[in-house]
Amino acid sequence: MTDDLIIRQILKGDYTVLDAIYKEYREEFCTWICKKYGGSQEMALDVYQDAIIVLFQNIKEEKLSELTSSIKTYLFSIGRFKFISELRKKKTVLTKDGELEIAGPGLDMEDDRILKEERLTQIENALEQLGEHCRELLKLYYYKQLSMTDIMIQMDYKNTSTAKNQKYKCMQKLRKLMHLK
Amino acid sequence: MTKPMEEQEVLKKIEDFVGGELNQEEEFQLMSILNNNPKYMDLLNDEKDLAEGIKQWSKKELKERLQSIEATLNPIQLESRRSYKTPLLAAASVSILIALYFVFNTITPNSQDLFNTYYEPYQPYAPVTMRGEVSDLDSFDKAQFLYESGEFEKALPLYLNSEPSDERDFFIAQTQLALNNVDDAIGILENLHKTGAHPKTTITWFLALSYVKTENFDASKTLLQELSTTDNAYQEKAKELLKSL
Repeated sequence: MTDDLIIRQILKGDYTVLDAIYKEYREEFCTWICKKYGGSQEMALDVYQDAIIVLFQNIKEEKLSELTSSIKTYLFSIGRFKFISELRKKKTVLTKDGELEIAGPGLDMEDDRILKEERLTQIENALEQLGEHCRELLKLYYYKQLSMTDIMIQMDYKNTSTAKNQKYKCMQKLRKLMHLK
Repeated sequence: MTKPMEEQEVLKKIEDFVGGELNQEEEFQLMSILNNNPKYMDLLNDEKDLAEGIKQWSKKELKERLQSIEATLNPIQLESRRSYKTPLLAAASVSILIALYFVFNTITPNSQDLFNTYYEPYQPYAPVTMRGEVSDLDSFDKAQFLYESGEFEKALPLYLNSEPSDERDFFIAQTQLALNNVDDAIGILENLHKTGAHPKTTITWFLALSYVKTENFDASKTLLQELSTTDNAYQEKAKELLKSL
């Protein structure tokens, strides 16, 4: 499969092409990264999975319009940066005494981050209660960023108005679960 | 109890706005509604949070999908170190290692990949403040609203028409960067950097990143060095990027 075709399929929100990329380069990536930086295989696989997700997002957000290297090279470079970043985190989170080191942003920013994470966790819990149909529809719209026409086709709705109406109802349900207006 | 129709309609408009489905005129109409009813601003913020939560959940779902694929695959056999019994075998291994070196060297990221890895459009800390009717809003306010919504192409002409200031130039540079007009962004950022305009470290970081994109690595290194030796929000990222150059 050519890189152009891969990008086109990902723009359509096709996860199966990600599955294929994942299998294609997984062994090569893990062997390369472990040899180069000496981390564990589990960590390499974890980072590789995250790199695949970033690849998907960057293509959806059209950050790859000027890709001058191959998808494989790009994927490996994302993975490399993530791997190095993970290695650094492991080294810096614990001090020599084994205590947590408070570094980086100030406490106010840290509070904001914690509040935001809590809020996102609440939304995720609400999504779990929402029902599969609504979850899928909202994922297609907000994460895969598909048009209403594509959503209509994928979800087998009668027309785009039905798809849009259904999305609105799902958001209403989600708001209700979150006790929002 | 059924909500008043007006509020339902506003909610639908907010949903469309967050989904990027409104045109510029509709966006300004929505701004006017939000401006006259501050309680609707909360609805907008809730909607943005929900959209982010859905994305986060979808990301986790994709990760689980990849983990379940992993569970079906054979474990990876990482090659262990061998002791070479004959010089011939050792020589053959050296040749393979040299070949691997050249293969993996092609994996070294280029400037574009480095830029893509580190670049994210600048997000202002404080949300845009709405004042008065939509007709009262100046070009800068409208541009800010569009910028925050990711509507960079629509924001640019409005910024260019607004009153000159360092803040305006900063956002023009950010908009040009988001639109991939790196040379235009560099010209403005260089000027802001030279005059010590605010926000200083943010200007330095985005100028350093822009230099990476245009492969002006020496200039980028100088700025990254500056960021990595002082306490600021970009310090860690600067250190990391510096090592990659």
